[in-house]
Amino acid sequence: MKRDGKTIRLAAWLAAASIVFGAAENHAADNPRDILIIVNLGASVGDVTIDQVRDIFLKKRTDWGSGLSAVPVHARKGSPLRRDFLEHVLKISQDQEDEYWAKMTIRFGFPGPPEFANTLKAVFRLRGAVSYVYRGEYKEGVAKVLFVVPVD
Amino acid sequence: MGFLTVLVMLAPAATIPQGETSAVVDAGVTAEEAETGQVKPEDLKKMRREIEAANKELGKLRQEVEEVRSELKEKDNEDLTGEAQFEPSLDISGFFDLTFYKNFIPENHIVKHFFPDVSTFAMQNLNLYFYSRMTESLSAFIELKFTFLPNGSETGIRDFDVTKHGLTLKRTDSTATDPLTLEEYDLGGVIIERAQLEWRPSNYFGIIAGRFLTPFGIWNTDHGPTVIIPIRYPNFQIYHDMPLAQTGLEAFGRMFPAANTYFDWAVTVSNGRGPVEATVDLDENKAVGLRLKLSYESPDKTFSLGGYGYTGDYTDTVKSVTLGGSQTGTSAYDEDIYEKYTEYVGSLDLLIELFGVRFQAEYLRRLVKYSTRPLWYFSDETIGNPGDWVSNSAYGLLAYELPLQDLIGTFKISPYVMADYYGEVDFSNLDAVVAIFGLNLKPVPNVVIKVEGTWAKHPDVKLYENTLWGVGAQLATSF
Repeated sequence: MKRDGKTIRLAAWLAAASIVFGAAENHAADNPRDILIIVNLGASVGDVTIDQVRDIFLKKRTDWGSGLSAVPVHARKGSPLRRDFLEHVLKISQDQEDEYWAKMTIRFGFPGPPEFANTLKAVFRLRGAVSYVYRGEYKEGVAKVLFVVPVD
Repeated sequence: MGFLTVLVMLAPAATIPQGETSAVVDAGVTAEEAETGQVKPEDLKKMRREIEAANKELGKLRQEVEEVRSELKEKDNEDLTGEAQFEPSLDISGFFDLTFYKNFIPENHIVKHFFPDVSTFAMQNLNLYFYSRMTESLSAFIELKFTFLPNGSETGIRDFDVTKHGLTLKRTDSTATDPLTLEEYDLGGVIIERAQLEWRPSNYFGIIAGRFLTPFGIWNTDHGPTVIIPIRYPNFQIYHDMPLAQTGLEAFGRMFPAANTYFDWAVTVSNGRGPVEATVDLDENKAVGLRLKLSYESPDKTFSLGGYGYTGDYTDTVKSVTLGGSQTGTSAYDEDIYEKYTEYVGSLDLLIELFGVRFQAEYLRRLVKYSTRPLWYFSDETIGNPGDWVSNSAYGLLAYELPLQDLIGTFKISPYVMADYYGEVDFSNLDAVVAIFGLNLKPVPNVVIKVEGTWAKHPDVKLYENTLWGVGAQLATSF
């Protein structure tokens, strides 16, 4: 096949354009209220399942398996983000979570995860931290995305 | 954000080396199609403009990301919101309750005069927790129980000091008088329930040093009135057939055989039981225990099965010291073992939570074998020694959280029933059967109101009345 420089540039533009339009379709499907499960950039955590994230936020699991402590970070109680996370990831209500921690504190003494107004910032700073953020509020390169939890 | 993703995807494509272009083009428009004019020049110009605009946007966003990252790095030494994670912190929490109880005890019942048969309020639990997480894997935890006792409590029951002349009960008086004002204070006490340093480097292994709750069963760990469902405790908890707490070391860990499935283990080494076991062990034999538990816990169902085995020596000694004169330099010292036994205790526990139903059950068996038998006074005024003995005890608790969310929101109402059996062989031979029924009301997660009725029977007692009733209510809160 004969290919001169003009043809190759044209092909590259077409390829790029197809990626742009293809990605634009994906973009349209992305819901800014989807929840991204994020970890600190320095944490090498391997493949993580939603069950494991649930374990970490309920403190049934305390490290990532590599000796690195798993530090769950909650959004503020009462915020829409916290409510969506409880509903779609932990699959409990705020009242049920309160009751769970009331029991766990009596059994083992330790309190629930700390709360931060800006979970993205907290995860950026804390080694081993795991949290969540709305897709629409996520900034690339600040934290590592483990997986996405779609929110209807 | 979505557009950023697009641009990130675009970035490598925009810099594709020439040798790799055909494969990409094959997936969309071929070079031949482009060459034959199937793509119009005006379309290509439009695409070029869009790509250039996208590249420009990509550059802007890259710059923005760098700005955010450098901003966060600059703030790395600052507290994000005043809640730094691993700076030394202290959390204080706790619980307390107020109980109202009325026993209906027949006049000639065997326990008449041991229990109050008038209605009474009681504050039995006031526990404070102090928890500090010092590093990622190191924490300290103290649980203190405050009590109005020992002021006013009666002594003598524990020593079996019952003769045909009657039981002599002496009331402890811990009243102190302020010498300046002559105001009197009733001094209470503090019980150190737990005081432990925990190092937990991983899920699989951790270690606790100090005073810890014996990791057996369900009730002993739950132990707070806002967590346990009824007011009344099972008999083996009241009689401490298993030591409720120990002083020493506990190694523990958790493994994850499958999703939502946990295998927990713990090994305990402690002073075991003794008259002053929290402070000093009076023998060289350390008590050891092993806890194993398998559980499945998903958001809507729980199943767990566990067991704990324990063995240890109880030793009590009597010392006598005779000091010699300074001239002779002689003194005599004797330490005799007054009481010594080895005990073997095993327990099993089962918990099922499903569709609002909670069923929990525990079984406990204790074997006591004496090597030095103490002298005891018996009811016919003879003096003798206790024999080896065995106790068996078990309870089952069934509770159901009524599905009334649509009517009363988060207010929870759970009726419950519980059956409790306690039996001793070759000791008192006094079996006890207790039935409990009640309502557990939870207006908010930290407040619980309970009302319950109790029926108890000692079936082996023939000469006395052997059945009694009681009703009670309790308000408990954790904070």
